[in-house]
Amino acid sequence: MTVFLKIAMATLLLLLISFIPFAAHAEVDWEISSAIQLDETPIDIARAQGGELTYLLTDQAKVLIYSAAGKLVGTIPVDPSVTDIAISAKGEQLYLINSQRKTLKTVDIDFIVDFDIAGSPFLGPADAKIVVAVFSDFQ
Amino acid sequence: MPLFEQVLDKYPESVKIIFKHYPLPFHKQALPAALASMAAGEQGKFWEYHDELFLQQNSLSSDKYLEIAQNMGLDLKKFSLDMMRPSIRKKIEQDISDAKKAGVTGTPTIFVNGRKLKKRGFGAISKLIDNERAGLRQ
Repeated sequence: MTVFLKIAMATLLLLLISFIPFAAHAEVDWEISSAIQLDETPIDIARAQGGELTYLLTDQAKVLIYSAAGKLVGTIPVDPSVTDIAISAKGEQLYLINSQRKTLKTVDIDFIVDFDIAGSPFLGPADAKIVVAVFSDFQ
Repeated sequence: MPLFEQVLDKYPESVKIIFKHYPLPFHKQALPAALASMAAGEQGKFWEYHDELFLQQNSLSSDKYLEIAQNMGLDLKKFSLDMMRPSIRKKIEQDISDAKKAGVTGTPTIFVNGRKLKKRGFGAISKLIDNERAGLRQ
C-alpha cells in the first residue's frame, strides 16, 4: 500500500468518525399541540405569519378556516380544480392555485368582528343600525 | 370638513360613530391622553376634549391635560379623580383588547359594522356604509 493510499484511507476514516457525533446528536423534541378531526380530506394548508388562523383546502372544493383553538370560523367555496392555497402575510388575501388550468386567483377576505361598544363615546343617533368604530390614539 | 362630520352629514339617521381607544405602546402620552379624554367624557365633554387633544398633540403632558380641562370649565378635582378611576382604565384596556383581537396594528383603524375599512377616505367609507344599508333593507 502506497503512502498516498494510506493517507487517503486515514483521511476518509477521520471524515467518517467526525460525522458520527452529528448523527448521534440529531435529536428533535416534539409533541402534538392540537388535533382537528375533519369530515373532508385535506389537500393543502396555509397559515398567515403570526396569525392564529389555519386555512385548509379540502377535496370538497372548500377552504376551511380554523382558529388556533380548533374552531371552524369560516368556509370559502372554491373551484373543484384548485390544487394549492397560500395566504398573504396578514391573512387578508387567499391565493388559489389551479395547476391544471394554470391560474392563480386572489380572494380578499373580510372578517367581521364584534366589538363591545357599551360605554364608548359616540356621535350620531344612539339607535343607529350602522356602527362606525374608530380605533385611535391622540399622539 | 373632517371625515366623520362628512359621514354624519350624509347619514344623519342611520350611522353612529364610536370612538375606541388604541393608545399605541410607543406613544408615551397616548394612554394618559386617553384617560384624560374619558375623564372629560364623565363631564359630558369627551368630543370637545378629543378635538383639543388633536389640536395640541405635539405638546401633550400631564399639565396640558389639566390646562385643557380648565379652559373647558371642567371640575378639575373630579377630572383628576376620574383620570385615575379603575373603571375608566378598564374600559380603555377593553378597547385595546378588542383592537388586538380585530388585528388592529395602527391608528386610526376604522370598522363599519365590524368590517375593516381597507382604503382611507370618504369614498371608501361611504361605499361600505351603502353596502351595509343595502343589506339592512333586504
